[in-house]
Amino acid sequence: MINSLDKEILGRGNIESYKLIVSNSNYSFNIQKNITTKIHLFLDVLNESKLVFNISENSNVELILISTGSNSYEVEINIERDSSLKLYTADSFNTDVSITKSVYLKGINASVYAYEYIPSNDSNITGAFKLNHLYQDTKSEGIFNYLANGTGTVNRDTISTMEENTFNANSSENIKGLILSEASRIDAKPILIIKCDDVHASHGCAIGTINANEIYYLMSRGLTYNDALKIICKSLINPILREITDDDFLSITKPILDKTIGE
Amino acid sequence: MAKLVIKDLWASAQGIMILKGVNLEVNDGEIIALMGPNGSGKSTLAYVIMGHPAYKIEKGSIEFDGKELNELTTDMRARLGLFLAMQSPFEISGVTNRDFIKQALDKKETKGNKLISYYKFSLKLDEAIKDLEMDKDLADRYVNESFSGGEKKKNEILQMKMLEPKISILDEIDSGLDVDAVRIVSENINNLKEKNNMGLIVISHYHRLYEYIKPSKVVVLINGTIVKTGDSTLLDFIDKNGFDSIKREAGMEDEITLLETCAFKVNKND
Repeated sequence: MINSLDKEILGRGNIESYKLIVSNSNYSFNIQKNITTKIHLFLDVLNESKLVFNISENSNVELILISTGSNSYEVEINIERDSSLKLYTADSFNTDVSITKSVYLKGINASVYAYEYIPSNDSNITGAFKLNHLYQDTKSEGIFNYLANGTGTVNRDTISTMEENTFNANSSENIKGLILSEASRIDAKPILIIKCDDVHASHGCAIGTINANEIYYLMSRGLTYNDALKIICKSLINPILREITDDDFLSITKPILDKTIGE
Repeated sequence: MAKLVIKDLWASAQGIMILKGVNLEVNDGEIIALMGPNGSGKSTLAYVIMGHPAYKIEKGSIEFDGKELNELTTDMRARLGLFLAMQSPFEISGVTNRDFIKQALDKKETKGNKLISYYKFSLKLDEAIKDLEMDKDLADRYVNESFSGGEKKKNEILQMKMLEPKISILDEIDSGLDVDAVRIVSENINNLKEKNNMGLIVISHYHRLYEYIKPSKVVVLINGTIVKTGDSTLLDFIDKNGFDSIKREAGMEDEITLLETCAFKVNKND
């Protein structure tokens, strides 16, 4: 049985914050046209669930999505013409889960900037991030950051698909993976599927252990090795923390994110 | 009173000996110009003083304020009051300059002192940024990320101003700086030197920097060994004549010269 909770986002310049305990449900958020809004969403995923965001035309949305819990989930985001989304997302799970996020750029000038952080400490995190260009003059930029420690593994595909007739579409994917222990592993595949001639697309992927020169640079200013290590790991979550403007939301989510880097 | 003493220092990297018996002393308030041709070991000496793990001290010692540094980690050396402004500063994405410098300062201040308040820190940082004529936004940008070459060098001096070390090593701080920026950076270095009686080792290939930061002693390092020491007139000599005559004087010939000599001898014998 699938339950559904529909949420209409109204108003202009709003900052909204939600905590959802997700259990065998479909949740949909419908953002009306001509709206600028910022949404903080904290998910506690108890059972497999799906969230759908529909962003109507000519709207600007910033979505900060922090999730934790014990089960897999899926997010689908549909962006209509002349609308933009800035998505900052972090997933902290101690069990093996699959997380799939799909963004559909469904109208001319629709755009998305996505920043994803997924740590794994002894768990196995799989799934994909999909950037689907369905229309011309659409733009997507994805920054994907993975951290593996203990016996943790991250196995993710990032897929940009540019369908036929997506002229002048632009897509870039950049993956950064930090491996902190001998037994941990990151498998990340940046994938471009291009069905139209006149598009711009790029991808990059850098996975490795901590850069010794970065550590040395930080230590040369007086930080200990552990401080330097933490500051480098923290650099993956800082771009998300900087975007959180709701103190209550921050007080709930920051400890969860800090814990992923051993703080 | 701060004092850095390097005695008969031999250091290697990947099994290759780079420093071969370096002796050098730096007192507080003293400015030493460290010169030498490319690949002579100047940057290696700077890295070894700051404990870079890629270099191994094979023999000799480095002492700071009477304490031997050989076994100390890089951060311990920094907290004692040593600072290295690097030739190619590294980028740390995701960490703002402000957070990084505050953390570094907190580490320093915890040595028996109370922490500097965030308010006082921000005032000090703003003032230092203004002194260096840097873009205000640089404080909240990620460390060295997308900085121009000049901005990176100014950022090194910004960190030095904030941390107020006892002795600083400036490794080609003038490379990548335009004429005005060299003047601004030099003024800031001189001001900090005057304020705290800071000692300096200044590495540069260019005479122009030493017109602003006037050394009390000039040291020439060639092939990992200090071959000549003098006063500031040695700078003029090097500027006019290069390092060849100093090499000859020290009985050193570079590999090309040796090869040419061998070739000449073979031809002569033929």
